[in-house]
Amino acid sequence: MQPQIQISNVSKIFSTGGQEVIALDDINLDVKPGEFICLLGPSGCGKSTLLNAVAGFSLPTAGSIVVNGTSVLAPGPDRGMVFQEYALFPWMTVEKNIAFGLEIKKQSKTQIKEKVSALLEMLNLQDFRDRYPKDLSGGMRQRVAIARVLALDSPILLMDEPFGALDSLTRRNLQDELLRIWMEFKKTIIFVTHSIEESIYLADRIVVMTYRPGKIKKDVSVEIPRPRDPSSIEFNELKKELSLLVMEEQSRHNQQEIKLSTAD
Amino acid sequence: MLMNTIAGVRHVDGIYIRAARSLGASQTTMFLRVMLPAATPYILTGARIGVGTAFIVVIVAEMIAVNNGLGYRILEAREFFWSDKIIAGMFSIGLLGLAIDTGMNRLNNYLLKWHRGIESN
Repeated sequence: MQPQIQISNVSKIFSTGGQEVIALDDINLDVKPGEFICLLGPSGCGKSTLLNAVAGFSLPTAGSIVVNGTSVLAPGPDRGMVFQEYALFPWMTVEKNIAFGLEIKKQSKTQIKEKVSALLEMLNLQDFRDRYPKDLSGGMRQRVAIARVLALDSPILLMDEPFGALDSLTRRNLQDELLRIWMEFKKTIIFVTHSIEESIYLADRIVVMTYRPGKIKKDVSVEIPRPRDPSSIEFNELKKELSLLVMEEQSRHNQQEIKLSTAD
Repeated sequence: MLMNTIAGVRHVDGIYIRAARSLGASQTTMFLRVMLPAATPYILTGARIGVGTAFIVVIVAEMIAVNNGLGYRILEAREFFWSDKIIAGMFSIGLLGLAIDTGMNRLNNYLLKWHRGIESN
């Protein structure tokens, strides 16, 4: 099958204060349509940088990213982005937030209304239609953010630690809902996380990244059938394997931080 | 007020701009539906201070330069020792000031109903 997202030889170099940091180093990754991919690694390993490059927010220094046959040069509604900070517009009601992308697309009022109602119902948000984001809990806000990108019908969802700020019960709840949506709409999802358990629970494939320079350390297919039980043996075997990989990177991260702080 | 608007637009959180861009917003939509509303708290603060200052300046200007208006009337009354008129003038200024401020406050609360309590989070 033709890959939907083709990341070839992508590198990204940031220069801050005369120092060059290689955030991404020669990344190659193909994502098939409908695949659920988790980018896993400690903070600072470039997983968010890679996601932002696919989203078109910050273009790579070298290499190319091709989505559905066209190069990524700017952000666009074909790649819906969900942020950890929700990024809902606080001056719009829940309904308006979800309708925003549709209004830009110049859809008719009745069409928008129908679609928004369907999404509100799907994500259990009916009672919050006319509320402002400040009245909602974190989990509810992230539901609205998900509804907002689903409204666009984009085939690809890019998620940057979307459940990172939520408590564990809300988190599991939203993970299940995301899986349901993913199966129902056959979306391609790239999901950034630093939680090993979350990545195993969700993904078809887990891409483990290294800490500076950001490279792909390992690409693991998760074969455990869904729904996955986090207390099962297979789950925990994989968790152990991935923990070792991630902890290796985390300790490199720690060492480098110690080095940097003593250098000052 | 203009300064405040500029400051407000400058301080718009980058995340809103990124979100709007990924939802396909054009430059115009971005300005009208993202930058401007995000900057309203700044704009309204500027407006409130601006209107208050303008009111004081008008009264003073009436006292010095023109021969009409509330400020002028008070000075005129002073010359003739019409203390009742002076006091009436003072009260009028106070009430007008209060009315203007209440009006601005109402406008503030109406336009920023999404914003109230955000600071406390």
